[in-house]
Amino acid sequence: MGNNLDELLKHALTPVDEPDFWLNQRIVNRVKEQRTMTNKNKRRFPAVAAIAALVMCLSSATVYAALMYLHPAEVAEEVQDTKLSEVFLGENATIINETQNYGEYRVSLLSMVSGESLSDHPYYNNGVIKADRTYAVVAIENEDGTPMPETMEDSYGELEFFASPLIGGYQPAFYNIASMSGNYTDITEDGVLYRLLECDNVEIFADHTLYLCVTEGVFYNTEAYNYDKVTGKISRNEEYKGLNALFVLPMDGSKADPVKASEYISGLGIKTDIAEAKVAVEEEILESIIVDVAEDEDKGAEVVEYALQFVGNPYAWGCDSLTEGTDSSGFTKSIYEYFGISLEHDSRKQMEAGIEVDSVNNAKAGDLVFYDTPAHVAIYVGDELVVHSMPQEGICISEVDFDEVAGVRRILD
Amino acid sequence: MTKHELEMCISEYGKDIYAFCKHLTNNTLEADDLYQDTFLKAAELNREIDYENNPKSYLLSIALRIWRNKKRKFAWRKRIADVQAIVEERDTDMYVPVEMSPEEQVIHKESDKLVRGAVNRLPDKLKIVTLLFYMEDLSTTQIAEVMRIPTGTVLSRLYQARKILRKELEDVLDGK
Repeated sequence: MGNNLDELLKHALTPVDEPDFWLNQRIVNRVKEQRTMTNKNKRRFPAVAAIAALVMCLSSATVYAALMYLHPAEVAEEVQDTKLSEVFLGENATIINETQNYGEYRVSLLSMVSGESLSDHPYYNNGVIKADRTYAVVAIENEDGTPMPETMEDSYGELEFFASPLIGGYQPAFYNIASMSGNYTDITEDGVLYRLLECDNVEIFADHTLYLCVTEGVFYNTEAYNYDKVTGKISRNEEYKGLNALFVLPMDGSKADPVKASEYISGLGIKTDIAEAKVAVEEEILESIIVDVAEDEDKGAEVVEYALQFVGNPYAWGCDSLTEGTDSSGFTKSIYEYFGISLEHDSRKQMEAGIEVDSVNNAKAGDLVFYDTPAHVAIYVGDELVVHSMPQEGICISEVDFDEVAGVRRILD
Repeated sequence: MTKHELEMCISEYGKDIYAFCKHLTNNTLEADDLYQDTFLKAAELNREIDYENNPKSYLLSIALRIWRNKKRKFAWRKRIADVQAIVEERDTDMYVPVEMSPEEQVIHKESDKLVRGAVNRLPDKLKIVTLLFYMEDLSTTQIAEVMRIPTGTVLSRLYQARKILRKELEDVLDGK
């Protein structure tokens, strides 16, 4: 008999059971059913698309002026969006090619286009296709000519840009790409970073001044721009030292649809002014009750239990809804908000909250675990597991060491 | 994943995935569920199957993630409502290879049973690594990808698992 442990294990563990024929049949049938019900085609954005040979037929009307950059159609082609690529070559696309230099960057807004079903990768929000969209392509370069990092390189992760359409008359801190079902894809070609961004169609606001802002960071930067509440005008903060480009978008005023626009705004459900204050008071009362109840118990476990019920819900960049979609720091923020503790929607700032735990080995349930310098944050569950919101998986559970831990903080005392 | 790809994955890897599900759950009903959910999820994720890059590890990583989430939810429910776990004695007779003499079969059956028992008693962390390595024939790099842990951690867990198993299976290893 084999007295070698490896052989013994191999032998005993060799798969013998066949899954039941009907079990396999059932799977095939169920998949077929699902496919016919909702011809769901999940969005795919390859990080770096294979470089496809692009044959472009340029008519005189669409000759591309800024020869130093890729044509937006090529950018769309790079992310394997043939439909959008054609749209950028078509008549509906507005070619802008305006360049601004601020901070250490040269930013160019190349082109934008709005309309119904323009892309091969329709944007889904809770299973509903958002078909009516605006797309824009922005090129960002280092002013000193050093090439931008490839999107595969680590240094790309350290570099963050926020590019978003803004609407005159609407507080840009609330109404931007993050709240307007936005999304983006970056590609780097010849040292230039191209961002293809999209959000709900802004044409309905064509009777307002529409802008496109580009700053560093993950979210709208209130310091980089001024918003005049009376005139509704958005402008660059001249004193701001970093990148704060602001383009005015050429819009066709006849496309404006004030009725649809006001419906859209109320549909976003963003609480402002009075409504916001009222809700805040109510939440405060509610939270104080909850905290009282939890006081006697192990609060860390409460936090974890509360957090775990959202497992399976979607990820959404820049958002903090536990049900509709949240990014990692939005997740931790919203979980702790429920327990009456306010955290900023930024993993770097969250790493300054609470007290430091010297090692992940000493982590307790409810502690925040930081990853990736720290661009990512999770809640410690116990048992060497964390719960967090991940771009691919949504809210899910992972091993605490799925990535290198950058720090642990205890928020609850 | 097209329907054709799904069927190919099932016929190619079904057996391996099923064995993994069965050992992970230790329960036929749950194994069937997990197995089914794994392929449904794979179909839903709709990622193109990369035949160069071992679709088996991809499927295993899905199975593992579903199982972990389930276990979490179960533990949570249990604390609230104290749901009784369904424990089922596994049918070990099914594991006996047929090409041996009846006498050999009895000895083999006994030792296999002991080995599987010992593997099942390992803490989940070590058990999963052991199953992926010995049952699914994954390399340590592939295991690292599936479990999303560093390769070093995989190696140290395999080492720990071997150490425990060697002790537990002392008698079998001595040929008794």
